[in-house]
Amino acid sequence: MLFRPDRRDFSLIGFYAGKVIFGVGLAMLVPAVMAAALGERNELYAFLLGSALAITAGRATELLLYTTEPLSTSHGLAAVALSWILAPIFAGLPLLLSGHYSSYLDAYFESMSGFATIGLTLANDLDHMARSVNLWRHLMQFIGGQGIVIVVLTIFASAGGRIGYLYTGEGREEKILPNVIRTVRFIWRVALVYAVIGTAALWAALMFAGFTPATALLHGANLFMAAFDTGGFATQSSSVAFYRSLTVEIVLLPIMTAGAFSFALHYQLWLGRRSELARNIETRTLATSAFVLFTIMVIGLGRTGTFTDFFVIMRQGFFHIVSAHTTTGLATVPGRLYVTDWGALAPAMLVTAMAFGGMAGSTAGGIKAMRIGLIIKGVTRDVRKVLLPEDAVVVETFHSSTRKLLTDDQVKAAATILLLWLVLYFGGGLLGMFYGYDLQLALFESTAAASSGGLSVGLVRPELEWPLKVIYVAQMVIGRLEFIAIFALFGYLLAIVRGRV
Amino acid sequence: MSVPARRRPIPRVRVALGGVALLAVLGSIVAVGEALRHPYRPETVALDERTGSDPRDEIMCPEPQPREGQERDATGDSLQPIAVSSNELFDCPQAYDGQRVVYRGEVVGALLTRDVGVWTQLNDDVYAGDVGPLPAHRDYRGGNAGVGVLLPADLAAQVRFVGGPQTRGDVLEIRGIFKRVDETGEVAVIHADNGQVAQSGAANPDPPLLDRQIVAFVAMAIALGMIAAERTVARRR
Repeated sequence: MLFRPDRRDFSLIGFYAGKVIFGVGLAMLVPAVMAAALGERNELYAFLLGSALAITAGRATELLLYTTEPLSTSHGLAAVALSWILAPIFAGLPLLLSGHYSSYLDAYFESMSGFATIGLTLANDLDHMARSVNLWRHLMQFIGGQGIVIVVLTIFASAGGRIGYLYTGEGREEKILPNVIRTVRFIWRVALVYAVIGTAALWAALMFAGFTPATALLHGANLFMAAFDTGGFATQSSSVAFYRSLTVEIVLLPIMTAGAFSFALHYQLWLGRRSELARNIETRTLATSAFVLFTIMVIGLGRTGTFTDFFVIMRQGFFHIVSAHTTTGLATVPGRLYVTDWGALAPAMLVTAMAFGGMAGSTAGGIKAMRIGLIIKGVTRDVRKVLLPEDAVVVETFHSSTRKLLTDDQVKAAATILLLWLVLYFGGGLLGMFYGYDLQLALFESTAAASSGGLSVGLVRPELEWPLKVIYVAQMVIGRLEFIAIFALFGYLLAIVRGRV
Repeated sequence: MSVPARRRPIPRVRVALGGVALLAVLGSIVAVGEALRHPYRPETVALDERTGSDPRDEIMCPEPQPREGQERDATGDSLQPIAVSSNELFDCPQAYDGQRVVYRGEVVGALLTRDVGVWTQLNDDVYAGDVGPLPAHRDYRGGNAGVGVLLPADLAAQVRFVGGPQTRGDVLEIRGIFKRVDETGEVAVIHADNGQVAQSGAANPDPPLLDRQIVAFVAMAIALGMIAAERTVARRR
């Protein structure tokens, strides 16, 4: 039975959403500092305005809805969903004022694409965009990759021990350490260590590619955020192809892969348990899937004669399969070529890789290797049950940090979420077809939006029909939060209308 | 949803009013954003004349031409270069592969010097033409990424302006061979052998917008006041 929400429910959800908005306002001061340093005056005032509005709205909400009530799971989930829907409104203001977006909807789309680490863009004339605005686009990916709520409540505002319910709401289930605060600190430590190493490596590679040290540092930092947070935005409209550098591509491969690893796996590696890489169900699933998809892709590219040279197939094919599988979305060829020069099999493998995605509890999106691994294990167990004598006890286990027994509930939960993902992918694809796009294009772009894959065949562009923009935004947030938080928020909305007193 | 001991649901009318108030706040943010955007440029031509390619358009590729070196006239002169746009090259890469082309676009991003020449991106979108780069106007027409071009060092040396923030790059007209895949593994690029600066670039300053400055200062003052108010109330609690 649904109960109509009372003041306590509204206060709890609004109070924490207010904190997040306040934090987003403070985060906007980072690109403001850069705009001031580079003399980008109009951008400086755009960021100050966006920041001021977010701070005012956030603090006003906290004042009006102040509460000391304990946070429950449903409140936490709804607060996370509301924060994710509202934050891009404030974050999109400086984007609109940058002059590169034709409407507020486009700026909102871009912000959601950044926070949800999708990488699809509606920017006009990206090549002339101010550096501070480009930094903000990439910073949103860094913030969203770790989790907006987690980032702002651990850095910019305090939520104390109540952060646990909010942590769960952002699509993370596994507590790596005994409590959430320590887990979040560990996530930050991993992200910062990778940031230093990754940016330094990219900086060196970009200087080797012909950039000046200052420009290389700027591109390197942005590229790192796009790759590690599996975001896929780029500072130039030609994405990674702009650099014309095999070295840059080679440096990006491990960074994208690290971004698709779960923080639980990073923790095991941090402790020196390298054997986890070989035993973990997710690394095994990812490696197998990437190998199979890459092999089929090579066959496809070979059959169509797209690439005939082994080195080129390895370079282009492998980079794209890793970019798609980690749901990063960085590209080394113009997206239009997937349609006009790559045949049917290779783009189909890219769509499949984006749909599968990375590991649960990572910055990557998609169905996740854990669920695919569990479902395969479940099917294997059922086949063995059929083949063995009826009184045989069939037990299946999997390894994820420790050896665990596979239960029916785990397989059922994984299958349910898999079904929801497929509905999400095909739903967006159907709407694309309604607007006259081919099945191949519509499904590619829908999967890219929902899974956070971010590779594009050119359907997402400023001229895109606005209902499709709205649908893709919905797919982005539903996919990033993995359904449940959005369901919780809609549960509250339904309770307002139909709940009992 | 948890059920507290004593629930006092808020009347639906008050919830609806709260919803309207929230929408009004969000609407006012959108309105502020719209009001403070870059002004229209007076000479701006008709809006919404999109020039980017539409993925729904049927692609009509030319018949594959004889490859460079396969068919030459009696004098030994090379074939006439074909004038192409980036959309045409990406729509029909196989038809143009190995063809001698003439291509025109703005130098954007950087000039990357290598042993074999200088790599750059030549963008032929509308912002490289008469419309001019953003954000100086509000004439949005989508855009594309242009084509990667390997320039000979002497041609690259003629480039004075590289397009980027507040800079309009030189527009180059180059002649060379389009390659679906070149020897180094780069895809859909042109190896230019000659060309010239067709249009000189320039600084593209973004004049300060006074109304935006004033509103930003006022909003910041209100935000600081709100922070102070929240701190005061928090201390009293």
